[in-house]
Amino acid sequence: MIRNALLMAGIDSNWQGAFVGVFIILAVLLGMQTSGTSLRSLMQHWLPVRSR
Amino acid sequence: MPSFVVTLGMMSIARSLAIVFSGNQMLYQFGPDAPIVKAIGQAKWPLRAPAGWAPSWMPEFSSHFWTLIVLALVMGWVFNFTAWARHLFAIGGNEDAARLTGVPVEQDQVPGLRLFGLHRVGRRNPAARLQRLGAQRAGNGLRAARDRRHRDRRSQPDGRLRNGLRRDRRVRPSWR
Repeated sequence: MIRNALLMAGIDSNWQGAFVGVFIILAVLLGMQTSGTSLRSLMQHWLPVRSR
Repeated sequence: MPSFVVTLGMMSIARSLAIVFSGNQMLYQFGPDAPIVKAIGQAKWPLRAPAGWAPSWMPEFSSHFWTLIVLALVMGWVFNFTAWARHLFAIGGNEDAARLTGVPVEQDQVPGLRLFGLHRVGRRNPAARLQRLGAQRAGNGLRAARDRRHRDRRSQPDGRLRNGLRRDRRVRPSWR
């Protein structure tokens, strides 16, 4: 469905894989957020911010 | 984060970018280091008669094949004969269980992840995990104390049960 939509939107076919990958990762992040794993804690893991 | 799905997404992104940046063309120009690249990629052993000692019937195996053989032997030895590999297998998918059985998870896991190039994205804070484990242990202790009180309350000092029944000593429960 994503590929068809990108094709109809006129996106270059070479770039379509990148968009599909981005959509997959976004879907995973959305699934994590809805299943209780906080994206905030994930970001803190990647970019730890020390509180004074 | 589900590693497999994210790997699939990242593979799609990387493949698409590779196609875009290469113009969907094979690369034949390797730049100033081309001789080194070709020497690594096209090396063979053993070489046949004019250049080497191998007879004509013997195949010349490429450097990739020999790399595979050496790595298989090394990793086979590591996974079969080192305590670190046993710990790595013991950790499996449950770090908490491995930690409770005495496996030094943090000490063993980091070189393992480096070896396999794996990155545990979205791993929870280890300090918070240890704190949670401590709370679980405390909860288990409280439950055990409650069960002990309940057990002691059921029996009278002379050994009879509260409701007047006498406990059959021959089939004493195992917890006594």
